[in-house]
Amino acid sequence: MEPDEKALVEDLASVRFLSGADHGYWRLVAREGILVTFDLAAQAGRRVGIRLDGTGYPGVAPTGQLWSIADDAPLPEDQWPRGGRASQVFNPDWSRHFGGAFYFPYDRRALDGHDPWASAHPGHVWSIDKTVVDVLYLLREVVRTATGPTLDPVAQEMAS
Amino acid sequence: MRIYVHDSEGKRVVEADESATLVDVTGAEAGVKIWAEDAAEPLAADATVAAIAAIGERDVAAVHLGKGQITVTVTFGHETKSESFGPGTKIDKVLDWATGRDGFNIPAGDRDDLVLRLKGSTEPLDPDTHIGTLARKGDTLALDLVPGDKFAG
Repeated sequence: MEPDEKALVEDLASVRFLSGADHGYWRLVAREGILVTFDLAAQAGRRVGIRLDGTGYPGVAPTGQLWSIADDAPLPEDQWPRGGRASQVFNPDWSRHFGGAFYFPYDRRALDGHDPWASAHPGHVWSIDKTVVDVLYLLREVVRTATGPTLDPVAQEMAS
Repeated sequence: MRIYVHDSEGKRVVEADESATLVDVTGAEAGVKIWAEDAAEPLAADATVAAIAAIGERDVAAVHLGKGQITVTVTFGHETKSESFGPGTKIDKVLDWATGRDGFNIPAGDRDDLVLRLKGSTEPLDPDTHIGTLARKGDTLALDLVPGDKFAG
């Protein structure tokens, strides 16, 4: 097992990760090497699928994309979370040029060219001490501000 | 049952049978009370694992080892409100109080944009963190209610 996968697996077994899962904040759907799929609890019973690529983890931040759990494929743009902070982080106009990456400081593709984020958002600076759990908590915070649309209804039905 | 045991230092996990006493399971020392997660009052001294409610439908529960209630003061803009909670109260529950009718009565559509931080800090707080952990060995906790970070530029 490569060091990035080993570190990722260790953090997926951490008490902090398990506690979040046991509180229903997220569910580990699948892992293939350094690719990990989760679904996150949003508001009103909605679920949001995401996939993280942990290449180089934790030395560099993961990159991610919205994911259809039902189709095991990228989530179509018309189903992306909208409203609140979700419209900024899940921004199709930007993300479609970067493999669907999240527009926030815990995505390595978004970090490229956004050095000012480190001073503007000191609480969200990626470092070797951050883990996949920090990414999941920030994503949870963001998806809970979304007001629409109903996301991935098949996955929602599977989760309920 | 899997039990998360929180205290002023953090949290750990133990596995226990329902018939076991919480004192034995947690190793609580004399003078330390055991609080179910989000509870306002401590459990009886001889309570067993069966006495604590599971989290949702899972075979999992959480307790906190602490002495007494924590007085939480939350600042939102120029306004401050205080309330007392058990030390096993999750930061998520305090957020519900702070944004709700008994707190700052934030309109429903705006509540989800707000987060809690330690007073003067920008570091995020895990929503399942117990306030007794954040207060360390004290009986007060000061928090700020602020909008979540917006990433632009």
